[in-house]
Amino acid sequence: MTEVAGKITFNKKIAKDIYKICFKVPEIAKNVLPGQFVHLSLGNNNKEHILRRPLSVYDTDNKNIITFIYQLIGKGTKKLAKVCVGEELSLLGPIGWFWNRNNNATKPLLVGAGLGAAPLHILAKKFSEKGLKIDLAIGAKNKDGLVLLHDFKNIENINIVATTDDGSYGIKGFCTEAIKKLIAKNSYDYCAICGPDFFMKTASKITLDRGIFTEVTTDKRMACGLGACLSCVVDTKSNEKKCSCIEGPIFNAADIIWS
Amino acid sequence: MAVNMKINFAGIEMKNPVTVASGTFGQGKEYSQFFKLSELGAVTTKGVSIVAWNGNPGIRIAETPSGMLNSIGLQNKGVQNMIDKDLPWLKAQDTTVIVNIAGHSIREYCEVIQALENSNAKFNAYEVNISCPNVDKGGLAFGQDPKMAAEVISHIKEISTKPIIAKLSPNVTDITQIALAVQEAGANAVSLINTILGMAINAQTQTADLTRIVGGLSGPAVKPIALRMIWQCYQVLDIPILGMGGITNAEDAVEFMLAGASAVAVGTANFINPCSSINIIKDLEKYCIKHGIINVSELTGALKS
Repeated sequence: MTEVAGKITFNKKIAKDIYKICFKVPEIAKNVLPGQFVHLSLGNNNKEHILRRPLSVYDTDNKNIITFIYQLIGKGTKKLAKVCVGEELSLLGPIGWFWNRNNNATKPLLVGAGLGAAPLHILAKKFSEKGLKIDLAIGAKNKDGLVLLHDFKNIENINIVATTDDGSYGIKGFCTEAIKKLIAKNSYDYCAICGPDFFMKTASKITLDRGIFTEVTTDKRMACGLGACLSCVVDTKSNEKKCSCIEGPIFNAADIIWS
Repeated sequence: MAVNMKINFAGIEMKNPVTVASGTFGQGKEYSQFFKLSELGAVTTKGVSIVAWNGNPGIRIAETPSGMLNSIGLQNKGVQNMIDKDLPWLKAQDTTVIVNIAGHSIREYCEVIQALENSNAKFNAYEVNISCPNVDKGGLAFGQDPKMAAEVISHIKEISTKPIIAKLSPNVTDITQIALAVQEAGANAVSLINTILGMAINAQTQTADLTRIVGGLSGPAVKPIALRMIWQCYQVLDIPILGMGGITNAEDAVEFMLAGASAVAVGTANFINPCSSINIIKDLEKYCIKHGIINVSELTGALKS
């Protein structure tokens, strides 16, 4: 983990309230693994928003550039949307445990709800580079929520099942139904799920009940991002509170107690 | 000309006046990847209780303008874990160590002290967090009543062999009353301020931001209150003051010392930049050189009229 200034090379809206931002930061671009995040400052002299924001890394070129996807939710992200190309922000990272911690996935199923698919993107690329065949179930309320689909389609060896609640794209229905159909037809030895908590809880129950080793990613408010302040703890079945920064953000779904 | 940055704070030798605020620094391990802990004037540990405390459920922090609220709930693994694991590790870092202690009753505070006194653990002082609610008195915080604050300190004084710093709560009408009470009871120093009770509401969801509704405010927003309270205490106390509350840079640290602090602690700023504390030490030295200050302790109470 390192604290380093990253220069913004791209920061644009890609859909309603959804932005893509790229930083030139070789120290992180070369080392980041799928699922890890970067703790981003909103400005070194920014006394109004003093806390960093944890952003999951969406992509890396493995040399210089890392990419994040973010949604305009609160004041912090609204401020981020106004930062210009050429400006520098402080990044702390890469932080945390990565997907496929045991490094033994050979038949992966990736599951993402809307923007929740973002942390899966770099994982899908890595699996593809290893020559694995990947199944991706991605769902959203409507077509607008599937803005990341285009990037996933560019990955080799990926089979995508897209669902929308309103049927405006792909199969009409819930992503969880797509998961059930996929696991009925295929055998998987690994599943990675990302989306809102209630979605990850439901989806992971489906895959765990089939005996598939499943990982999820948690999204908690963070202060230090280092495991010192105990702001971001999750409850686990081993009765421990774990920091979702350095002991996560990727967890074994079987261990998580969903709040 | 070199500046003498060393101070003796209530009998504690510190190589410079800068420590870290309890709860913002873990036990130091997480920050040791960024700098050597031996460069700090002292490390102040996370608050430790007699048994492990789980802390609060749900959402524990909320960002507020120029600050943050926390309701971590003093989660910690208990004093035995500190004695077995954290303190030996800290000793090996060659830094001054202040152990922060917490309790829900006078008996609990004393049990923690006794356990530490009985152990072989090496550390330099206690910082007593008296902002904890006293369960024997309906949950009123020890630090909100001068008599209760004095009682905790005098009980601890009887059984401890090391300097005692009483960490004061700002959630009181007149902090000098509490400060004088703990001085009278035998505290070797006071540290202030702890966090200020505050609340945040999300207008979109129409709910409170923190699960426990009310939390402690820290960060730049509290600095004017901290400065005022330190200045007020400095007017009445004989014992030294460890000042904290929104320090983010060396100028802030100078302000606290001018107001009356002999030492300072950096807290929330550690989240902004993990190297905040050592940057402040370096810049404080530069400030002293620039202003012709030979001993950093000259700054304490040097506010000009």
